[in-house]
Amino acid sequence: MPGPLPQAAAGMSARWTLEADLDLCQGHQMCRLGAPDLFAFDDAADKVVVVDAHPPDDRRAAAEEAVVHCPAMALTVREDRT
Amino acid sequence: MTASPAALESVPEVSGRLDDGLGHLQELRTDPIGLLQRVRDECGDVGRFRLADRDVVLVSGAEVNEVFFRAPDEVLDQAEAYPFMTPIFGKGVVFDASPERRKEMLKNQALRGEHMKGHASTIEREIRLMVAGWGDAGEVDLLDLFAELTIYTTSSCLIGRRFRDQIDGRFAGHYHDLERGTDALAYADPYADIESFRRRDAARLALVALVQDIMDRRAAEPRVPREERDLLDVLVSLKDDDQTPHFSADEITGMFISMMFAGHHTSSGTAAWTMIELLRHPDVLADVVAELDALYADGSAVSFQALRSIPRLEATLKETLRLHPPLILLLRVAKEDVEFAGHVVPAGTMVGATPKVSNRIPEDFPDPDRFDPGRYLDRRQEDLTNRWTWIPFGAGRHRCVGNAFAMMQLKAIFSVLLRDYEFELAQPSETYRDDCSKMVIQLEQPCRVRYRRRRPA
Repeated sequence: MPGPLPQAAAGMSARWTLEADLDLCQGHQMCRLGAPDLFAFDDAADKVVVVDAHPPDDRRAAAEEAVVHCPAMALTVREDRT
Repeated sequence: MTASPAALESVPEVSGRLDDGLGHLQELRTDPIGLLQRVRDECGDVGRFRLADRDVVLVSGAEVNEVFFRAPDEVLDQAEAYPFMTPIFGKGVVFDASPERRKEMLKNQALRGEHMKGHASTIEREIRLMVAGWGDAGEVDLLDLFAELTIYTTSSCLIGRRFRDQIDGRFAGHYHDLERGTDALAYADPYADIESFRRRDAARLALVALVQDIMDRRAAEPRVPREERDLLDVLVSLKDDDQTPHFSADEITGMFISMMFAGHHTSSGTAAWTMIELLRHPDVLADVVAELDALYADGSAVSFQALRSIPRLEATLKETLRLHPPLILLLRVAKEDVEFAGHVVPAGTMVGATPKVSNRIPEDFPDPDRFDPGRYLDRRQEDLTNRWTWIPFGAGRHRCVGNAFAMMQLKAIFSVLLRDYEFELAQPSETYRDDCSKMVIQLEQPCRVRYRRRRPA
């Protein structure tokens, strides 16, 4: 949901956002194989659902793995500018 | 004609149009890459060439490629864009299903992630069968090898093991003639009296005869258990109200041809070019072989590893795909007016995007003609960074739904070949090249390599 990001604890480095381009998602669900906590699936729409656009930093590697292996190139990890 | 000529004239036309009524068609049949590259060089991101009685607007570059690939079918439609496919599939079988149908296919059928493990073992089995008669050393033609192998893998994975076990090299031979029947002359006349079209039509009839023969043999046999039934059994079992078969052998063959088409020459050509590029770049080859040896040192199965990350091999495959995309020109027909970088392209116009040219745009891919798998390693991910110009699989809504399958298949093939054999080029490096005289590009023969069984480490 758009809107101001919750401000993290003081001194925390730039945050990152996990995004899915639903125009591009083809419903392969490869992302859910590796990171079922980050991605859900909307069966009716046949599209991915990003469970949490701002996962904790220890899930970043898993998110990037999903981005690389998405057969539709529909996923992005974007640095937030603070 | 819905096109307003004034609008299209704002799009520059590339040089070289002939006054033979065919425009640039003859050049598309002889040097398509030269034509496509010249459109970008002379006209920029949006240019135009002439195909018989039609204009084709050719786009390249990230901005206009994104417009092209994001457009829904109601705006840019591909059903009418490939007239050369109709005689191959047969009437009534469309080139590409609607996004809804594609979604259904993906949902119900063979390409979803959960089926991949089964496909990976199928592919391992097929490649091992191909090399079973190789002996310790010899020579093989890459086109013959991979064109036949990928007939077996696509038929087994998409139609079923039972069907695959009932076909042989003849199926691959006829299928090759179909692919050779994709002369761009079809834009003027898909049934013109030329050799490649005659062979195409004979090959389709021969394939129907092979499928009919399999159907007859099955009809004479006792029914197989449910779990062994394949797609052919299912299609044959469908009856109309009066109990006559719903589908003829001709229609079923058309369906099979179309299901296998997208995954066949594409995977076959990419496997061959990967081998050639590896042998042209011994340092890359050594890295990939070392990677595979380490990965499989624990005795793990190809069907397990091919579904996982094999970074250097994957980077090699991506770089091969960038330099040698199996499809060089993707076409649509505008169903309504559509704007590309300020140019309004009127409804009725053909619009094309070109993987071959986009994949080598120097601003996106520095030193674009250089084979450099490092483009995808570590933090450099030039495929993701340039998702609208790194387009060997297309992009957007019609991005190849088989691309995960294709990458897995290629990883499985090279996991077997490179661990069991050493290879070397059997002819001068520059003699390996594509025959671009047909819309389906294939390696020019001969394209031979030598192999020798590796000593157990």
